[in-house]
Amino acid sequence: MNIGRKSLSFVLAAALIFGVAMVGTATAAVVYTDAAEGSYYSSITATGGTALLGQVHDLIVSTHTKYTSYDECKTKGTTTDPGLDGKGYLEFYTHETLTSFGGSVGTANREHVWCQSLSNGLWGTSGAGSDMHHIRPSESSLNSTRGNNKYGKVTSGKKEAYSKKSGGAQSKLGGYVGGGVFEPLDNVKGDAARIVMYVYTHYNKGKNVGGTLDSRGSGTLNFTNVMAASSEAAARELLLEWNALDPVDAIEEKRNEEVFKIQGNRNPFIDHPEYASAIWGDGKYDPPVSDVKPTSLSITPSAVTMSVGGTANLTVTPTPSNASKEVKWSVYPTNVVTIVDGKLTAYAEGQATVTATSTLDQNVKATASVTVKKAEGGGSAAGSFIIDRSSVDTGGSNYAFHDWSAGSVKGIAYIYTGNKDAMQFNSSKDSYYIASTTAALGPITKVTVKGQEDKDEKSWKLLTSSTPYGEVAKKPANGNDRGTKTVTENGVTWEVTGSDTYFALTYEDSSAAYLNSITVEYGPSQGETPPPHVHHFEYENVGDKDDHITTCTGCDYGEIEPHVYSSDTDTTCDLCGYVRTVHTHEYQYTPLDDTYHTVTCKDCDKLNDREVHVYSDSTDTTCNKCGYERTLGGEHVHTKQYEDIDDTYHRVTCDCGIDEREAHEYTDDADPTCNLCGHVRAIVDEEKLAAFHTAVEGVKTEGALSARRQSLLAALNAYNALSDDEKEAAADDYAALSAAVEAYDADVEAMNEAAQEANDLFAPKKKGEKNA
Amino acid sequence: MKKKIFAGLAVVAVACCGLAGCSLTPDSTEDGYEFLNEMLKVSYSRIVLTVENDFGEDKLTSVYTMVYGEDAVTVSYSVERFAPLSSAVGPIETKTGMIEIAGGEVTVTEGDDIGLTAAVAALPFDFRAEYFENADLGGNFFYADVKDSAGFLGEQVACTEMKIQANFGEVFSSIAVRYAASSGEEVRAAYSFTK
Repeated sequence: MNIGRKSLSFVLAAALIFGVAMVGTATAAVVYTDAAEGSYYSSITATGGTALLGQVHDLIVSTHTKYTSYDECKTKGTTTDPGLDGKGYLEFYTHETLTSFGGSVGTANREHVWCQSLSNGLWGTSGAGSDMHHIRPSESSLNSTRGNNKYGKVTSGKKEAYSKKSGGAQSKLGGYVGGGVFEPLDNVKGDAARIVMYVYTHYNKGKNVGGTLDSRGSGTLNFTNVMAASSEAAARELLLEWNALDPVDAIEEKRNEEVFKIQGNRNPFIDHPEYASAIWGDGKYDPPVSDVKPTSLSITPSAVTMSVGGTANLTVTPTPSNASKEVKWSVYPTNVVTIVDGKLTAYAEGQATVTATSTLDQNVKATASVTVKKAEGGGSAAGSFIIDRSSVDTGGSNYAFHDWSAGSVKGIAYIYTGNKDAMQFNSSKDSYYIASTTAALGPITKVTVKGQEDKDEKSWKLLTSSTPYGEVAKKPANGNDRGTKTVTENGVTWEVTGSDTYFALTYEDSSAAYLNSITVEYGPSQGETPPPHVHHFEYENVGDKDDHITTCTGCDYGEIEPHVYSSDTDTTCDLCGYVRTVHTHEYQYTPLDDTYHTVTCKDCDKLNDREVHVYSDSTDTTCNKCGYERTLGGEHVHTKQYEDIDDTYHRVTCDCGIDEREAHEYTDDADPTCNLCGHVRAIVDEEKLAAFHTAVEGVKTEGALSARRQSLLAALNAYNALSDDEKEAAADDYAALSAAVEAYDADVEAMNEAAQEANDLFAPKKKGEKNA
Repeated sequence: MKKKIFAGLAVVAVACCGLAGCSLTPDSTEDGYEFLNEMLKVSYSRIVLTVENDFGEDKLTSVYTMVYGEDAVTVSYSVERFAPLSSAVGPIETKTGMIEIAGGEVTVTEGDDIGLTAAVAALPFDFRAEYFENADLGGNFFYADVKDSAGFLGEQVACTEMKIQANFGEVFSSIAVRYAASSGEEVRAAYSFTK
């Protein structure tokens, strides 16, 4: 098996790759290193399987310090994906150069190698959806053709998939499509495989891949989401096959470096393609999360009664027992309870249905019913939540925005997660605040903040608001200012009045600050208006060529709505994924009689016309379209012969006695060869010739040398821009220019001689002294 | 008294300096020209010669700076020439360099070679009445039209309207000669003297 280009730094590694048993040798930790990536992989000590996968996951998540925007995937494309001549953008599937991004045919689109619609809802145009290791430029038409077809081997209805040029002409072959599958060309298969493996490894939750960290926008991903394979094992086998078939090349290596400089992390499967087989090859892989599809699911308890403000937990049991328990939770209506990872939080009085859908098979579901009653006194009960270091996600190790959650409340904090003991802020790193992005269950009444023991006491300001806080540069200033206090290790409390349910704590001091905990107390709600319902649409492809069914997961919205396509050539509905056929007539002509032929389409029955035959001229006997042979009824058919005479004419003769002079015939202005006699003409650009002539006419032959020189150089530059044919055509002007150049040099020589005479007279260099 | 070093010239002390009863103020024309010639023999520490060739819309300027030391003369120069069309430096190119003259010979050369010899440090003038007309010699100036350039400069010059103007005190402060060359350009040669 081709293991790719990388070599391992230890002899043990070679044995590992080829599965050679190390007899009599203790299994040593293998460190994968390569000069190009420095010590990036120094934390990798595992040798394979889930252990290696987990370490790789943690490494690429923790070093992913810059999450690029979708727009940056385009603006930085000239750095990460330059065209073959260094300009424009390199098309992912065809390796041709595209000159610009845009929406029209012949321009580049941002291709999600792992389609958005196949991501289990984890990304659109952020997170993995704007990860530059993932997003690649692809020609608009080819991008549409790939659509959301899974990667794999096309085995039915195979058609070639081409990119197109501006104007619609076919450009280059980019792969094959058929039966809902897209197969890249062999020289791209490895690239695609290594991107799929990167996305799978990075954006699966840590627990799914043996890691400890959860990145932004992570969830549950399976290879079968994006690979056309019957099982996860078959999908992995196909990825390993593609990884070996198409090794890492220089383009991938350079791209990896460029994205690394932007994002902070690397695609490990480009640096170390051998990781793939080390992790998933030869039965080494023991998935932390089952990849067996359940045939059914059940939820325990199947019916829940709760009070407003209360919580409850639901668990999922799959059949068979070893099948995957991974589900996507949904609830209807959405304003009664919320559910996160099986944990219910009651919002308002009412009834709700909770649904668990298997991530491996969306047809396998289970439901549970929830009844929520009013808390005593009406509305939701009072309560509190505490935020500490453990509340914050642990991805990355630099100052950045990180998500936190405490109970049902979520938020963001711009902190340094390299500190595992406290929430660390620092004014020099623009690390200034922590805030909530979802509402407390009741109006905030008190906020108590404790600093870390033995750390300097610093100033903090509390803001509260009725609207969510978001990510801003420095710190937010909106909301009600509850005052600035010095936070101590024993804690300081703000008493809050009003109905605000969101808070922001902003750092008002300098250097580093460390917070141990934030306790937010909220009062009971008065059962007032729950948040307005927001539709969460789902689109069902029912196989209809015109429409799909649109429903809302949180209410009884249900409509038949038309498919939505990005363009006339787009074959895949943007919402439900229905693939339509965009038909282009393929004309065929069939002789009908002496005058007509029929025009039909090879692939459809919508075209049936009649046209007259088309001949090149009166002597042409064969119809240019249908091939019908006509008889010219006894007339002489000329057999013309052409003889080149001069630059303008050729002689036309025929056995019948024709002897004429005709002008040469060319296909267009750029065609140098006469179509009839073969005369080769000089192709000249009249505009350039005119420009040269004008420059020669403008040459100064007297006056200041500097002006004469400038005019001569301008004319010489215009001459040098001419082609050989044009120079020949400009011979007269060039002769005049040459004469002017000679005259200039002669004048220069004469003036220099005169000046030298004067210099020699006063600064004598030949004659002797006068004043002996 | 510092020796004057003109390459090939005998050292001539300015006898008047320091001797009682000698006056540098000319009493007669003949004495005046003798006086001017005597000032040419003074040991100047520095002489700067600027030669301008003015072709109307184009001008070349060359500067020679002669520094006289105990045993040697250092001549630094910057000489302008019109450049050929093929030159990338522009319409005028400048040659610069330095030579050192000792014992009547060029002993050190640096920079661009413009063919200077040891004679460069000499002054070409000879003041005699018969070389001039319309002369005006005052207490600290001398103006005249040069009618005999061969006599005055040691070389016949094809020109018209050669004029000389000299300013002095105890020694020369400046000498300027200008003329219209028959080839059309106007030439101006200006010396400034430092004792």
